[in-house]
Amino acid sequence: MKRSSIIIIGIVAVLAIYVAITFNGFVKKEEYVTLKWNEVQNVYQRRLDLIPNLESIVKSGADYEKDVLESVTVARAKATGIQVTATGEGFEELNKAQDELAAATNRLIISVEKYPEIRGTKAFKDFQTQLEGTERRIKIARKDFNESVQVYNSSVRTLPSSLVAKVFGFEVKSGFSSDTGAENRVDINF
Amino acid sequence: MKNLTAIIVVAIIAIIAFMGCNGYNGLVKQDEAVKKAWNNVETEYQKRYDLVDNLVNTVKGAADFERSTLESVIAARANATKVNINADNLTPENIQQFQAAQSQLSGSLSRLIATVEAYPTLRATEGFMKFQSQIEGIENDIRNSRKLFNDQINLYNTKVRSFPMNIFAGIFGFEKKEGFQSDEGAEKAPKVDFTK
Repeated sequence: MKRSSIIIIGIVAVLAIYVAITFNGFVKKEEYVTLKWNEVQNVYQRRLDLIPNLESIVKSGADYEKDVLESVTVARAKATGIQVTATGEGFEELNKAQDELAAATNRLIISVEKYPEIRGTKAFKDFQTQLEGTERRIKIARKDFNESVQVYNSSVRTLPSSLVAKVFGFEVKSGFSSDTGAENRVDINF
Repeated sequence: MKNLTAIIVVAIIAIIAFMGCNGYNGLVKQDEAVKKAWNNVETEYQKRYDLVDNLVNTVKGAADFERSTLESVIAARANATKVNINADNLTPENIQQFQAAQSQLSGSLSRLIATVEAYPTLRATEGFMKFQSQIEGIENDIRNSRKLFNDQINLYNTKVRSFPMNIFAGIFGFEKKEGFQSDEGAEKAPKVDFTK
């Protein structure tokens, strides 16, 4: 009588300890899933804050370069052109003088044709790398999230812990799923 | 016999009380760790807030400086090589003077050829590029601080919800906290469009 009651108490105690440990395991795994999902949100936010700003920096850098080079070219054209307001007989005499100058200017034109070095393209290249890095961070965060979901779901669905999961209402979670149509090949079209 | 039960009961109560105190202190500690982590996130936000505007103005200032310097250099060069003639009062004397000016000009034009050949190297574009990597660094710092915050939230929530702490947590009013949540729509990638 007394012995059997000790055995029963023992079994109940062992069961209780098992349930408590399993419950704590679920809490830990579920919180880990939440952590990883928050990290996904974290990198989402980074992308949202970063990309539009980068875009406008690259754009204003390029605009700046374009403006300055254009105005340099225009100013040079003005500097080497000679403006004469000639009327009447003076014009012919002036013409002669111009011939000499024309020869000199031609030489100038040939040599200034050398193209300017466009440096803003490097900014675009950097931006390309930054975009790729951003998406890679997001991918890694999603992957970590998926792994945590897998660990959690495995213990929710396997025996005997699945029984404890049922009692405390731990349910199967879904991992990251892409937007509809994301599985299609992306056509590159310039 | 009676004494023994009393001792056991007292011991159990003492153990539970001790666990309660310990659990309470642990939660307080973790709660403070969460607060610290969030304050660090705010520190990074403040850094961004303070820094970005100044960086924008600095880059802009450097660009304006370069542009105006180049423009005035070019204008100065143009003036140096410009010849002003008024063809209405051409006298033989004037023509000769003009010719002299022209041959001088030919000389200086040849010299000019050597100097103007290269377009100016724009240094301010480097400022824009530097800014590009600086702003990425700022956002990286923010992201890292939010990550540390999430880690602390994770430790806190795991503590609050685990048995037997979940019982004490309920008694002392410790509740589950939320980790970092992004703005609505952040899961959609922003569209990059340079044609705007």
